[in-house]
Amino acid sequence: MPHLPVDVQALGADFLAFSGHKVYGPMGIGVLYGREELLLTMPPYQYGGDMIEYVEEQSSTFADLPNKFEAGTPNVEGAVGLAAALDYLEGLGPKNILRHELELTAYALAELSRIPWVTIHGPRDTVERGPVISFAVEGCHPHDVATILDCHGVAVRAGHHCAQPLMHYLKAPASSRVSFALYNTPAEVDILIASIYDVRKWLGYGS
Amino acid sequence: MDLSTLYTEIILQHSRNSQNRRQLPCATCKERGHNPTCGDDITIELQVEDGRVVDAAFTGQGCAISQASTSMMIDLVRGKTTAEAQQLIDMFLAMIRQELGSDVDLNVLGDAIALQGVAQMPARVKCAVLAWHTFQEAIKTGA
Ligand SMILES: [Zn+2]
Repeated sequence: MPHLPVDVQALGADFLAFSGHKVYGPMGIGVLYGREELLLTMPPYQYGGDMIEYVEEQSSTFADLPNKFEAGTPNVEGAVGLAAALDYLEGLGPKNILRHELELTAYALAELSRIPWVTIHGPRDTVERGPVISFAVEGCHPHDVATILDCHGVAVRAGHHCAQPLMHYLKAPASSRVSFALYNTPAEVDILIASIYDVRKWLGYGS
Repeated sequence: MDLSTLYTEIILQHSRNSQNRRQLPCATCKERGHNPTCGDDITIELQVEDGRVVDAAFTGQGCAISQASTSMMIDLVRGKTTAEAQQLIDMFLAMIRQELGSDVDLNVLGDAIALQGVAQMPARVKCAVLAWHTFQEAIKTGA
């Protein structure tokens, strides 16, 4: 979410989680899908308002799904915001979003691979890769790359990307990673490429 | 943010061609420091005799800021007593936290004064202070 269409039935998933902020929704809310027959057998993980059915002196029964797992005061504004974000994505169409993102990825891959001192990690195939590109700029540490790109208005992530074993395998101390979303444009890819040339200049390589 | 306050000639020199990047055959203490979230990883070796840092050197890898900062710190503490070094480290850390008054003379920090601009860049503070914290650990455990 939101880069690939997800169908929990087709996947046969027992559980599936995603975060609101990854689908252009608010922070502090997300979705946890659980298969009904599994959720029915599970006890509440938290007790509080609106999750009980009958309370006796020595026993109680719990509300039906999903209330059993939604104790206390709900994050209403988060849920409303998340629903609006999902409606928006649904209106654009997941396939259209993916096509746009992969077009940008293909363009960026082509431009990056023309620069002799840039190494692209991972496959050149956009379908296998998805709309993210990790790369290395020869002689320039990803922290410095990210800071300099940031000053050009380009936000990339730099670091291990929660994948230290892979970084060891790549023999890279860290990497820079650009990711595309539905609001990015080919002109922004051009800014990225021009800014990468500037990284080398700032770090003392002619170009 | 103005990049020219950060990626200065002096920082690039220290990060690339430092005389301090080597191993120390007579090291009396050694400490590794790293930023696990971002990957800067340095090892500082010190030769401390009678409470004085006779020599110091480092190895490792990381961004220009972390490597330059390490080299600058080593220039600064070499020849100082551990107490004097500790004072300079406190001063450097206070400079980065922007806690120093305008009356403080930063020139005693030597080349490390060039890292002043890092105070404006929260994402890079960890890179700049790594070596200084590592030195503190080294003299705590080794001397
Ligand atoms: Zn760093």
